[in-house]
Amino acid sequence: MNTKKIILGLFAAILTFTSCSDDEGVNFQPVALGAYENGILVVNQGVYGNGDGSISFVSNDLSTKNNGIFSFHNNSVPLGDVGQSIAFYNNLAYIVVNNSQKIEVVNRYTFEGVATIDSGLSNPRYMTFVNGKGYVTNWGDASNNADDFIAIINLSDNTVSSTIAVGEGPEHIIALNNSLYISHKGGWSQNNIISNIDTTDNSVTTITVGDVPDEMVLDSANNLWVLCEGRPSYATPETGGKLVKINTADNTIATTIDFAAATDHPKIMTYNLGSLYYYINDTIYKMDEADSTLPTTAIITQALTEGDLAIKEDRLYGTRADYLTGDSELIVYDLSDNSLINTLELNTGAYHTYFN
Amino acid sequence: MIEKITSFVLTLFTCTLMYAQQDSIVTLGTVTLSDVRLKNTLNKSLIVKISDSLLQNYHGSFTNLLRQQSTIYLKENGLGMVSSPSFRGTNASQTAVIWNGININSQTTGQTDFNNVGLGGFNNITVKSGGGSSFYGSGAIGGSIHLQHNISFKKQQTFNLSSVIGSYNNYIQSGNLTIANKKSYFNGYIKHQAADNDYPFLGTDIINDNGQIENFSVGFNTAHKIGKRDILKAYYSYFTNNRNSARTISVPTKSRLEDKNRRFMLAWNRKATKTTYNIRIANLEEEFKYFENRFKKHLFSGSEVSSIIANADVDYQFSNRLSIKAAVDANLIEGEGDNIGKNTRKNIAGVLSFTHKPLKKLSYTVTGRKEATNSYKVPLIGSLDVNYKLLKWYTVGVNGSKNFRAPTYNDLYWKGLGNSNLLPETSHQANFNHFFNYKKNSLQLAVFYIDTQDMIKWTPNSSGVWRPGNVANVKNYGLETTFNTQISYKKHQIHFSGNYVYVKAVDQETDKQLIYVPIHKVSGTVSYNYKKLTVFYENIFTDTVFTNGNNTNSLFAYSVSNAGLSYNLSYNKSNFIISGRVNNLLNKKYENVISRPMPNTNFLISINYKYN
Repeated sequence: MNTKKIILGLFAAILTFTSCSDDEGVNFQPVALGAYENGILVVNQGVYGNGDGSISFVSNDLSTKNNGIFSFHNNSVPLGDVGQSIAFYNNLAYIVVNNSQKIEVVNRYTFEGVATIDSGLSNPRYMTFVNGKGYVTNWGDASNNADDFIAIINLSDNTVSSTIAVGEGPEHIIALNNSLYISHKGGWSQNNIISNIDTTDNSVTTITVGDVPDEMVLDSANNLWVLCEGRPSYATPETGGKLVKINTADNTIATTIDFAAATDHPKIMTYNLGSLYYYINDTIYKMDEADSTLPTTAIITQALTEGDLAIKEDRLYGTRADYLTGDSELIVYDLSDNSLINTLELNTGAYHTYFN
Repeated sequence: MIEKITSFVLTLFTCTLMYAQQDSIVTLGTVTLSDVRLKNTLNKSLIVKISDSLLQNYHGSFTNLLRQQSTIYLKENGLGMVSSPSFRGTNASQTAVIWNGININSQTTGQTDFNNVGLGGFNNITVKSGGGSSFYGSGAIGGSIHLQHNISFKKQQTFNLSSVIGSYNNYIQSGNLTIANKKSYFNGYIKHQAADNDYPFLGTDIINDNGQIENFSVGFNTAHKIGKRDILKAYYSYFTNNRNSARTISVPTKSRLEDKNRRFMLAWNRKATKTTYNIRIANLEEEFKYFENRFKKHLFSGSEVSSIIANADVDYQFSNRLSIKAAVDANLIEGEGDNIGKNTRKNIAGVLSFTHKPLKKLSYTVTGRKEATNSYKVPLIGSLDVNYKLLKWYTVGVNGSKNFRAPTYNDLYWKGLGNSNLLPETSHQANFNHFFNYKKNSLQLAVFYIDTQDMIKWTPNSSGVWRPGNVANVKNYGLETTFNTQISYKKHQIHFSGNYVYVKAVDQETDKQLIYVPIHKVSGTVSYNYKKLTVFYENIFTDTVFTNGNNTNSLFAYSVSNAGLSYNLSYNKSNFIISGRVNNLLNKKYENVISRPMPNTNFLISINYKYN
């Protein structure tokens, strides 16, 4: 689920019902494993406003599950409001907590706290690293379309050392050599650009792509594939999704593939061994990176919410969360025969998965 | 509007119950009810009445007053922040709030924020449990709260000034003047409050650093008698409320809410031999602004709604045993906002009610209401009440009704998300009521059942887009009771009052309790008075509430108590009342909305000067 929709929809819902949820007494059974290497980390968003974001650990064989590991290893301090994403650097995990306006820095294997970056961020989203510096996308205020920025993090003292102003709604950020690519999903609105930042001088150039660019992946030839969701049904006009391939050697658009209808909004994408995998309308498709048309047959039919797809060792991981009831699941498929392996119940709002 | 109640003197707990008040027909010369339809509901529902004398000396929040004195459960997003009521496990938009007979629930949200209603303009609050859509329209499903200024043509000159100082820089000043004679009545009031509200969150090192509030209310209530049969009345109320919105444990914020409410009403009453006429025309205006960052005040979103309301009631008394009432309600509502566009709603409703007393001790009333509107379909609704006075001190009643709640502006028109095909929520309910009354002791007990269909709920679709739909079906059942008793010995008086409600509110799809509905809520007050001194103690217990639909997450149950004393120094017609109060006596850590802690122990001191 993306925050823009939470703001538009949930805000209206809150005005009407003031419904909320909670982090106390959840299915948290502390089992001190000591180390969280060799497993899967899941960021659970929690419910917007409830302060019940959390991190779950699941062992690679899916037999062990620990919910709430951040809180467990940090004196029961809650992670915060809307767990967003994790970025890894050496032995550290940087957990971006969107609505709490902070990044929790922990040891990625023990989850013991190292630092909290809680100054200089404004609705932080995603983070990556180039040449020993951290770069974090920030939406700024929802009501302001001119205050969006990339925060540069000094990793030695965990402070925001400077910022780079960018267009509205910077979302995902990935690094390629000294260069950063940022998809401008649009924050609480909709945008249609990719920013490219040269980290040697922090200069910014933009590439116009389809509407609402979200996930980005690099293929085997370092082409940048951008999944553009299209403008949603509540925006005017609604537009269909696009898959855009950018040649990173000269930052030109190599290929644009349109989804058929204006109501087609692909949601999440990942890349594995020469193939793109994306999710649309309760189905998952696989497309070869050499193809220039969309596949017509789905490989898996499975309802997910918009966390992400992640693939490792022939297994595909997705998440599904119901923010009203509290249902929250990690769903695992075997890609060798596209069969369901298991479904694990996690804390509220399962969202992104990472391999540790 | 801090949880700092001041309460006073003899009057402190004269929160009397309305049992046995006979249908006091609106007549000239005595007190006239501003809500002329309320008399039709007496003896048919569990009712708590909060009197003028209590209100006059009360300086705390409306939320806290209702929480303590009635069976209503209220949840607050932190002290002074958005506060929503729940009767019998129904939600805030299923509670109708009635100002001098007019429904004032917000057109945008469908509910009333009880920290956004200025106290000062009312001299009577009646809390009525159970459905009442036939007379009060949308939202009267769980119950209704009636804010009234009743007018009395009795010679008086009363003047009241008070000043309050409380913890966390809470300052309240207010003035109230009433002048009346046999022909005319005038009441004017003014009130201002400012508070920093920067209390610490117990058990953390966080301070409620964005909880500042400031509000101001001014208004008048006036009436003039013409000849022997006619009264003209005018009511005006203006309330402005600027609140920074409090942070949560996990979320720092710079946001702010600014509300303005204006209400004006003209009323004409005429009493002929057998016929009574009441005509009212009102204009309500609500304005709302939300600032995400209060340091950048040029960026905000908001809405403005203006309503014109016209009501006409005719009562005809065929005999002592038979009467009929016919009424017409017309509304014209214009709303405009950043998220709801510009939309106009019109509706007109007709009500017919028939009361018959076939036996001396038995009476029944049948009521029906039909509405026509341009924006949604409203079903035919109605009610049937039967009351039997079994004993001199015991009356039993049964009633059944069908009620509705209209979709709001947000539900219908929210940009891109609103659903113009929404139906109103409808509910069927049954009540079995018992009224006991003996001397100064009274007890009311109701067993209730409410079945609500087509409940409007915002849910995400498969693309994660949240939209409203008529998706839920909920059944509520339980028991509600309220009592009041007084013991006097020479100049000593002890007063007890208490409320208890047991409620199950079950979603029929999941078979789970609804979120934020405590199964048990108990409130009790005891006060002792000796001559000019009054001491009191009060306590509220609120059971665990679930915070998600699966009922796997919850907030702890809590019990919070307050205590205080007051002393009245009177000289001739002048009274100085000095009082002090301690809230959250035992410094309990509690939240009534997740992640939003309520204040620790805090104090309030007030001085009241009254001339009469």
